[in-house]
Amino acid sequence: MMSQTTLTRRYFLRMSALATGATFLAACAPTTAPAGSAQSEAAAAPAAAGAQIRYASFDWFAMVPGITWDVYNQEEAFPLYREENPNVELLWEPHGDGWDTKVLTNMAAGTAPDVMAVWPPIVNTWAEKGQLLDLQPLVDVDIPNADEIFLKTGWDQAWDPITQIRMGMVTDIDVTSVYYSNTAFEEAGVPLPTLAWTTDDYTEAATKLTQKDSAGQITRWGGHLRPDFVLGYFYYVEAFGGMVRDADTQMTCLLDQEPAQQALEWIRQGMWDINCFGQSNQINATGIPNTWTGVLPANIVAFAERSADQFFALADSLPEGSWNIAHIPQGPKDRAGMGAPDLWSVYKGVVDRGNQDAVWNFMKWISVGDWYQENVATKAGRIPGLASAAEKWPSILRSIDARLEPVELEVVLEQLKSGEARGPQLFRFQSVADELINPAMEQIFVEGAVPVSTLSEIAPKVTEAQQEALQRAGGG
Amino acid sequence: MIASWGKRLGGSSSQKRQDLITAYLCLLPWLIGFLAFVVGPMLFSLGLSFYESDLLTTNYFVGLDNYQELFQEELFWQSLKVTFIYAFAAVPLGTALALSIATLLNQKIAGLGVWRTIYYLPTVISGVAVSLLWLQIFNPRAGLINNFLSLFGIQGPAWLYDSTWALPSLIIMSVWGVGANILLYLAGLQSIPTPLYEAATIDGANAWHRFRHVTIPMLSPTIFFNVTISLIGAFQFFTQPLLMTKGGPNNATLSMVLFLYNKAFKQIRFGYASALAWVLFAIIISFTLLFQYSSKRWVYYEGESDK
Repeated sequence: MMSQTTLTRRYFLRMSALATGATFLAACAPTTAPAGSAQSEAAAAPAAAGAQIRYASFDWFAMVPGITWDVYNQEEAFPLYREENPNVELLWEPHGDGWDTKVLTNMAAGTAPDVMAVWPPIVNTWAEKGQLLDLQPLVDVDIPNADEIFLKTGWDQAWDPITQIRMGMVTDIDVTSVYYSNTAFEEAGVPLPTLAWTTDDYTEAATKLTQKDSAGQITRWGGHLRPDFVLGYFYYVEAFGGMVRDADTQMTCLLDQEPAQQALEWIRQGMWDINCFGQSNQINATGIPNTWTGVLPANIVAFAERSADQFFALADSLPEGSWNIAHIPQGPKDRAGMGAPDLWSVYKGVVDRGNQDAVWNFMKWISVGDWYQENVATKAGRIPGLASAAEKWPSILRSIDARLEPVELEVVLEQLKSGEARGPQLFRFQSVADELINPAMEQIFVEGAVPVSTLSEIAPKVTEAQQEALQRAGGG
Repeated sequence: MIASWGKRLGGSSSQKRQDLITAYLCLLPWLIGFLAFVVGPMLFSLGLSFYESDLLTTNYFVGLDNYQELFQEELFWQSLKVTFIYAFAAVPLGTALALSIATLLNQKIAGLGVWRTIYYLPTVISGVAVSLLWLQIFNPRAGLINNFLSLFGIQGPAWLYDSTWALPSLIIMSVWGVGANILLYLAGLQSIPTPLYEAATIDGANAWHRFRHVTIPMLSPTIFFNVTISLIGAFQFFTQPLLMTKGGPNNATLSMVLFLYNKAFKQIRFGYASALAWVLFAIIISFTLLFQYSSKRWVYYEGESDK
């Protein structure tokens, strides 16, 4: 028998396996306190011990050349906040790829960040699932004039009519405008866009601006609608006097109604019969590396509906004064385009974590504070949600890049103030609606395989699916 | 001395016990991980499949309703059809291609190692990079394939933007990863005893006969392994439709796993998605066992008695 004092291979194997197994078990063992209580332990101590705030946002959020949002926040914003609030520790957490899925999983685990950047309809889902702190009671106490100081378009969309909660504070608002090439219009002898231009003018201009080569192949389409059904095409439903879904329940699909059918038929004709609006396949097939900011510089289209994130890229790619922006055209009944906010929402877990007060103070600093809100324009190049900061946005952008001087940036603010830029018509259960609507829309607009009237069969199914989803959410 | 050796080899019962303890202790780390990260979640998802649950606020028992709803849902059958077509097209195509290339490489050629590396390289490139690359290759206007077809006066289809061609595009793309199978077939081919080929040649067998009656039977265990693994992987294809087509156009590339992902993370119905996962598991297991059963007829293992 081997001596116990001799380290045999067998003994070493056993002990190392035991140690490894014990390590695994220790790692898998639940923590003694619920998730988030590490923060609550810190926060429960007297204020002198401090609070920790986890702030999750996007590294890529800033559009101003040379600025990255994470670096700006960690090196400028956070240190400034700490000077004013020395007991608060701010932690930056990047929203990476698949962030919405990861945050949802973290919510299920109780480990979601305290403050999260988000936008509709994702935030609406989080609200529906009861994962957000209702900020309205806090707003009522600390920001009684909120309705006056925030841009209405964004502020209204931060309120969820279904759950009746304030889902978040507005970071910025994104607006869809028409970006056009002056040069193309002038060369084709087409009048430049004005506030008065209509959907008929739109089609006529696009037709005249479309160019073909000697073989009859289109080398430049007149226009390109915003390539998104919810954020692009559905606004034309409103322009033609229709609705995508009812306003009360947000569950009845109205795409089978006459105005909606007319609007979508107008789009289909422009894309397929006349082909003055580039189809998705055609634009993607041009092979240009970036079909979001690159269509105008590449002269693939003469005008394109795009977000308010084009400015610096276009200033770099196009000669100064050769491009501009215009309002969305007036439809038969209305003028409507996307005006959707990005929000900061607060995870409900801050209540248990005990850092709710610290989080709310920080939320006020970033959403109501002039310094941070103006930096939404200065550092990110985006339109701040705070009205006073939004007014400065055009001059801020021109101070960053003087080549934007001739661009009518004020058009964007006009779109916001006039109500032209507005929130999308989302269904109560948007992903359930998408599952049925998107394939039909792809058949109509991407493949050109079926008529718009196909939606007459789809609409009742969408409504039915919404009802089923409501039933499930209510417990069957 | 013999007696003492015998005692050592046979071991006392306490020695056997000690050996057993040592063995299980060595297995312990893997076992804990397996139970915690595989078996545990599987059992949890099985239980979850009987609930309508979003893991957040909604959580109630529905029994078999999820399974019933699943079999009545049109999109489930669409995803099943897409997955089956993909699996039973991509796997034979990949197998035939891998075997053909391996056969070509199974010659005394200079730089065989270089060729092996070249064919294996695509396998190690990440799925995201591969998807982006193939998006360019399938570009209807500027892509490699349509440009090549235009040389022969053929106008290529819209590939990923056409519901007829989108799934075939993904099937064609699947051959990108045959490198690993090529290596396995090549190793198998090189282990076939040369005298068998010599004997067949003496008996008057030509190249095809030798391939059909010597190579294939001797390679059958490798083929069986490769096809089984490939089939299991094909049933779970997800990355390409997620990144390249989002399941479109018109659900033409909606694989079962993508359908499951949409139900779980877009519609936040984890109970329903769990039911779907177990149905997929049952399908994969069934086909694997069926294939396993069929192997008795065509897989030849050296040392087995003739059938």
